[in-house]
Amino acid sequence: MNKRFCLFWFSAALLAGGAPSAFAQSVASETSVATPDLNIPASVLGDARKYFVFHKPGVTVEQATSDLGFCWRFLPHGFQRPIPGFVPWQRSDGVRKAPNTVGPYGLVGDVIGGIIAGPLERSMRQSRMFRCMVPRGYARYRTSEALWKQINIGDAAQAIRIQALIAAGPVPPTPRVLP
Amino acid sequence: MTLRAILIVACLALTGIASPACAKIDVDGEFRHIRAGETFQLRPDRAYLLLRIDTTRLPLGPAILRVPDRQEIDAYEMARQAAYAKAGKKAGPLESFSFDYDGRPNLFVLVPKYAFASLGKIVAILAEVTPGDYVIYGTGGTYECLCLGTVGFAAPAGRITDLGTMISDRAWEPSAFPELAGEVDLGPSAVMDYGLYATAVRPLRPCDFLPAGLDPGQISPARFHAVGPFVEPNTMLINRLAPIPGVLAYDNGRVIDVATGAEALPN
Repeated sequence: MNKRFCLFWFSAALLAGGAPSAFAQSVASETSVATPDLNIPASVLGDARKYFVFHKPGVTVEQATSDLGFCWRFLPHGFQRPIPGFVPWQRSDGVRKAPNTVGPYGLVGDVIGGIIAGPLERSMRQSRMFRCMVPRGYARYRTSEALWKQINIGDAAQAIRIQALIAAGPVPPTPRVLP
Repeated sequence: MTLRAILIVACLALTGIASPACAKIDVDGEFRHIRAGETFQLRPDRAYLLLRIDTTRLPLGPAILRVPDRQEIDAYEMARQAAYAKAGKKAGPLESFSFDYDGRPNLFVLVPKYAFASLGKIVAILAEVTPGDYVIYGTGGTYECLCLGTVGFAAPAGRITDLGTMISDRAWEPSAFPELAGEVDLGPSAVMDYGLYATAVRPLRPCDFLPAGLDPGQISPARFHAVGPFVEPNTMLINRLAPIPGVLAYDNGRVIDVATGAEALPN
């Protein structure tokens, strides 16, 4: 991994709401992190498309931490880059914010946009982790929206650590998400 | 039309069309579609890209990135620092600061509706570009980056580099295209609020459609190589280019350059 990528990893992880994963490993290893109870009643399970935990038989906590850390760097995201444009290839670049103007559907449209922004943001995050982790051999098991938030929102180092423990632990008792 | 469909259309509409902020960029000096009806004349100091897009399922055009040289990077960084200083305290940390750069561009989109020629559902895009090294960067403009693995190629001056055929389909459904095997039928998680699209590039085959008006002697098949993961924060979704036999493969998420057998490391 080259130096520039490491630098970007650092800044990207900060933007994702926490520490970079290399730093995350050292910090999290010094912190006792409890694995949450994954026994979620069927009636409380969230949308299977969105709310899941990762698990991989035989993976070590260290490898799972590395995989999660790798994928975590793709979580910071902004408004779509305009084309034509310039990309400082192999250099870090800023996260584009949405234009600070009234949108094409006026103020009402902006209010509606504000309401749906949270779930949309969350689904982009879920999509990114799904697309990055599944090819690395991880299966998904359903969970509740509350537990998903508990293990995803907040400090990145702790989130990665908890999810690594889940990924390397016993097979979750909830249904597997297929495909 | 569902909310999801509206969102996807809106997002795609935002790409491939110059935004007002970019209107002053001299795009023609860097990139130009050669449109149907134009007489093509090859310039020895320019490079040309020929790409067929199979629109049977989706009419998505790829974003292509020209690898910038040192001077371009420096010019961008200087402009960024100046914009950051001008923005003052509200700008936040420099690492996350973004701005509208009106310097020399290096990211373009090959737009299906600006085809040079077409045959049934296959449209052929011909673009005049600056000679250099390029990366197939995204799908649907910057709707989706190919951040988890893609390919690069060289586009030399005075030649038409033939990229073969690009194919896209919905990643959440099965697909009839064998080139997309393993990248589709991913299930409902690939279509939450935004749909994920699978993309493949099928290198040039002898039977592929060649637009009239092009001299076969001026055409060279692209020599692709694997490009490792890269971070592009300014897209809706992330994905990877489908494996290409002899060129691009994946091993537990690692990008493999098949020709050398080595991992294409993260950029």
